Amino acid sequence: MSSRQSSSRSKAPKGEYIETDSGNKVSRKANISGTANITLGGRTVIMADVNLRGDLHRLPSSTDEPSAKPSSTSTHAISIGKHTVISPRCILHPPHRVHRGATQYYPLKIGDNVFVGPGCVVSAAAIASHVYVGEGSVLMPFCMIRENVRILPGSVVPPNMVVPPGSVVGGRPARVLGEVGEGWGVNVAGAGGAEMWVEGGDLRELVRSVK
Amino acid sequence: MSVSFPYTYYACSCADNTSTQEKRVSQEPQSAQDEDERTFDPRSRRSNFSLYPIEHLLYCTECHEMRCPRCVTEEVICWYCPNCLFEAPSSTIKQEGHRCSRNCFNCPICTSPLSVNSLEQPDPPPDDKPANKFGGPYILHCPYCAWSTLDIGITFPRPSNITGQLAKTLNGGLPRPPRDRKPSSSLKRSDPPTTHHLDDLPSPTSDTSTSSSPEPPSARTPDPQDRYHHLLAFYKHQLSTSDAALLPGTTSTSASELGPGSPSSIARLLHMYGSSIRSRAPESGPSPMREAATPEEGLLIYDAAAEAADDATIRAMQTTAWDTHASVSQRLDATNRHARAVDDLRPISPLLRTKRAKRCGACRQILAKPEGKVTSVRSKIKLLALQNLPKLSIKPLASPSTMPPPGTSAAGRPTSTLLTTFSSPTLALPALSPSSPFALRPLTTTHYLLTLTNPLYDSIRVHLAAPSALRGRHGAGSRVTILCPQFEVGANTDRRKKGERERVEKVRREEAFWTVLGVGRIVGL
Amino acid sequence: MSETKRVSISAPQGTPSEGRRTSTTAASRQSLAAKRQSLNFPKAPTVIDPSAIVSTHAILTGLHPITIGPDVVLHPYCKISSVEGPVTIGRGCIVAERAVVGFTTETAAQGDSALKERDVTLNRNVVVGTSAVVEAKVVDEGCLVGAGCHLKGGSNVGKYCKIAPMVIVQPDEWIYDFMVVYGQNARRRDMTMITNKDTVFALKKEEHEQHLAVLKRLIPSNLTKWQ
Repeated sequence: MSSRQSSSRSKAPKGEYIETDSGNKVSRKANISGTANITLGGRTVIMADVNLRGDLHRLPSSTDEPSAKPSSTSTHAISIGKHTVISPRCILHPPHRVHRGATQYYPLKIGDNVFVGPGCVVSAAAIASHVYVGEGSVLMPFCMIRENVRILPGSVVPPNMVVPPGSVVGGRPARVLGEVGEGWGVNVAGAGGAEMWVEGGDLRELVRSVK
Repeated sequence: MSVSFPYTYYACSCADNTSTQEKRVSQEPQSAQDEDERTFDPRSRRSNFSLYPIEHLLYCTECHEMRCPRCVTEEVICWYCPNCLFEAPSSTIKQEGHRCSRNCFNCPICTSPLSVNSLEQPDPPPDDKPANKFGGPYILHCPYCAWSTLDIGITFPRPSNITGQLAKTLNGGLPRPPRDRKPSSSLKRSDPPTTHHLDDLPSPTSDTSTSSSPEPPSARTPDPQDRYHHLLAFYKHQLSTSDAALLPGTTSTSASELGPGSPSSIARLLHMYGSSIRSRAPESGPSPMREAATPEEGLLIYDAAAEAADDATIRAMQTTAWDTHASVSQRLDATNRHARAVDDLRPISPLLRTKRAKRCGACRQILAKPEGKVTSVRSKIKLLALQNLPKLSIKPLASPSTMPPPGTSAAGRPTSTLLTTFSSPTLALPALSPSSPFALRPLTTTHYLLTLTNPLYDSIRVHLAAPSALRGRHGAGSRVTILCPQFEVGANTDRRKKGERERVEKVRREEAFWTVLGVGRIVGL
Repeated sequence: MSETKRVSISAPQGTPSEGRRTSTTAASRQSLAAKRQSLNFPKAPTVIDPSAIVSTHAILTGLHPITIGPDVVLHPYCKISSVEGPVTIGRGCIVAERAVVGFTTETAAQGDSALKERDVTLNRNVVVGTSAVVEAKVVDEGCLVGAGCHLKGGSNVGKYCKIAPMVIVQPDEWIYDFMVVYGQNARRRDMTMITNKDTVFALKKEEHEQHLAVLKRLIPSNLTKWQ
C-alpha cells in the first residue's frame, strides 16, 4: 500500500493539494526535502508549510562493513502510515544520536490515524497509531509515543521518553497526566448526525474533507 | 478530556446518593428541600467531581445507568513501568515501593527520563550491547535539563544494573557504608536475591546476639533508609528468636496474639512490606515482643545532633542561593522526603502504572476489561456510554463575520476549526485566546449549534432547558436562549454497513440553537 | 557585488567590533523605510566561508552584511535576516530549518522600538533548533537553542547554555554562562559542565563535530547562489 512519495502524481490543475495514486494529499506549499526517503502510507494529508526532512537519512557508516547488512543502511528517513494528518507548519525532523562512536540519523515513523496539530516539531523515534498531538507541541528526539495517546497542546515531550499506551501527557517537560477514557477514538454512528471524526479515531473522513 | 472551548460534560448522578449526602440531608431537612428543587448547577464546586466527558463514561447494561470513574470499582490487571513497558511481577511490587527496578530513572530536577551515557566515549546505549567495548565510567544524564549524576558525584562503573549500583552509593560518590554486619547464628533466613541490601542488615545489638565487640558507629547520622533497615532487621531478629507461631495465616484468639506487639501482627506487617520470612514451627504460646530500644534497632528519638542538623539546614537556606534548594515539586517527587538541597536529590525510579478492569459499583458487572498484555490496547469487554447515551456536541455556528474564510467547504465542523485558525504566530499559545473566533465576547450574541447523536435503535424525545439567567463568577448576566426546546431524534439506522453513510446523513437531523448573549462577562471557559 | 565589497571592508567574523556596530546602526536607521518594504527576500550582502554548508533553500536576506564562518551548516528553509542589523554566524554553528536568525521586518515592527543595536552574533558551535527565533545580541560559544525558542532582541546568552524548546527569553535578559533554561522559564546552572569541564567538553565537542560531518554529507551546499 505504501507508495513512494516521488511516484507519479496525478496533476490536479488547481487545488491546493496534489493527490497521489494512493490517495495521499500533499499541499503544494509543503517543503519536502529528500522525497526518495519518505513513504506515505496512503490517504495521508501533508498540509501547507510542513517541512519533511527526508534528506536527513541514515548514512552508510565507514565502520560498518557494507556487505554484511545492507538492510540496516537503507536510507529511509520518514515513514507515515494511513489516514494521518500533518497540519500546517509542522516540522518532521528525523532524530540523530551518537551510536557506537558514530553520529547517525534514525528514521522517524508515524503510524495510522495520527493527527499532528499545527506548528508541531516532531523528532520522535516513533509515533504509534491513533495518536493526537495537540497544537504547538514539540516531540524531542527519540521519544516514543505509543497507541491511543493524547498530547496536550504546547507540550514538550523530552528526549527518549516513552509515553505508555492510552495516556494523556502534557507540560514542559511532558509527563503523564492521566488516561484517555475507554471511549477514546470511538465514533458511534447514529441518527442525528455525528461528527465525521473524533480525536484518536479513524481519520478517514477528515482526510476526505481536505480539499 | 475535551478541552476545546465549547465542550460537553455529562453529570453522573452517583454523587446524589452517597451516604454523606444522606447524612447531611437528615441533619438539614430544610436545605435538602432546596437541594431537591434546585436543578443541577454545573458551576458548584461539588459538580467538579461528577462531570465527565462522555469518552470517560461507561454504561452498565444491567442497571441501565451510566457509570463514571467515581461509581465503578477497579481491579488491577497488571502493573507495568511506563518507561520500559515491562510488566512488574506482582510479588515484588510492594518490595520495590511500586517503582520500576529495571534501569529506568527519571530526572529529579525535571522528571524527564534519564539516559545512560559513557564518559569515555560518546553514548554507547547500554540496552544494545551490555558488554560493549566502550568502557569508562557511566553516568545518568538528563537530555532535557542537562542534569546528571555527576552533579551529585555519582558515576557507575558498569552500564547495567544501575539500580543496584545506585543503592550502594551515596550522594557524593562515597559507597554507602555497609551496615554493621554482625554474624548472628540465630538468624537463619534466606536472603532474597532481589533485595541485595538486606544481606547487609545488622543484627540488633541486644543481648541475644552472639556478636563480637561493637564496631565504632559511623560519623554519619543514619538516614531514614538506614533506620528502616535497622528496624526491619530488629523485628526479623525478634521474630526468628521468638517461639511464637509466625505463620501469617495462623488463627489464634488469645488477646496477646492480636495486640500490636504480638509476633503474628509484626509478621503480618513485615509480610505486607514484602520481605519473606521463614518461620519456625509453633512450639508454645507466643510471648510478647519488645520494642526497639536503640538507634541501631531503628529507634528514632529526639536528638541534639538532629536539631543541630536542622539548624544547619536553616542556615543553609538563609545563606545559599535559591537554585541550590529543591523545589516543592522536586521534594514531593523525590524518594528521599528529607531532601532539601538539590544535592540531596537522587535519580527517581518511575512509579509503576496499572491496567485496570472496571466493574459497576452497584451490580459488579464488568464494564471494561483490557487485555492483559501491557502493550496491547484492545479490550475484551467495553461497555461505553457512547454507545448507549445520546451524544451531545456543541459547536459555534459559523457565521461569515466570525469565521476566517475557510479553505474547506466544511465550515462549522471541527474539521474546519482545525484547518482554518492557523494564522496565529508560531509562539502563541494554542489555548483559547481572545482572538479565537469561538471565544465569547461581551455584549455580543453568539450562536451555537447543539447536535444530538442517537446511537440507540429507538427514537428519543429531547427536552432542553436552560436557566433564565446564568449565575456564578463567569456567567453573571449572560442569558441562554434555546430556540428549539423540544424535538425528537430518530432511531439509529446505521447497521454499520459500508455505503450506508449517505442514508445516515439523510436521517432526520434535529438541531437546537443556543443563543448566548454575553453581558459584560465571558461565559464559561 | 559592490555590497559584498563593503562587507569585506568591515570587521571579519568572530571579532566583535564596537565601531562596526555603531556605524551599521546609523545605516539601519537611514534605510529603515526601504527595508520594511523588502518582503521579497532580497539577497543579502554576504561573506561566506567556503567550508560552510548553505542549503539551496536557506534564505539570506536583508541589506546589512551577513557573515558566515567556516563549517557552518544552514539547513534548508532556515532564514538569516539582516534586515535590521548585521548578522554574524561563527564557526561550526548549525541553524535548523525554519529557524530565524536576526530581526525580520515583522519581528522588528512588533519589538521594542527603543532597541538601538539590532545586530545578532552567534559565536562558535551554536546549534539553533527548528523554528527558533534568535534576535539575541550575542549567543555565545556552544549554546544549544531548542526548537521553537524565541530569544528576543537585546538578550545575551552566555557560553554553553542550553535553552530548552519553546522557551521565550525576554528582551535585554542576560543568560549567564552554563545556564539551562527549561520548563516554564525555570533556570539552573549546569553543574555537570562546570564541575567536569574536561571530560564533558571533550564529549560535547566530539559529538558536535560528528554531527557537522554527517550534515556535510547529507545537505548539499549551494554557495554559488550567494556569491
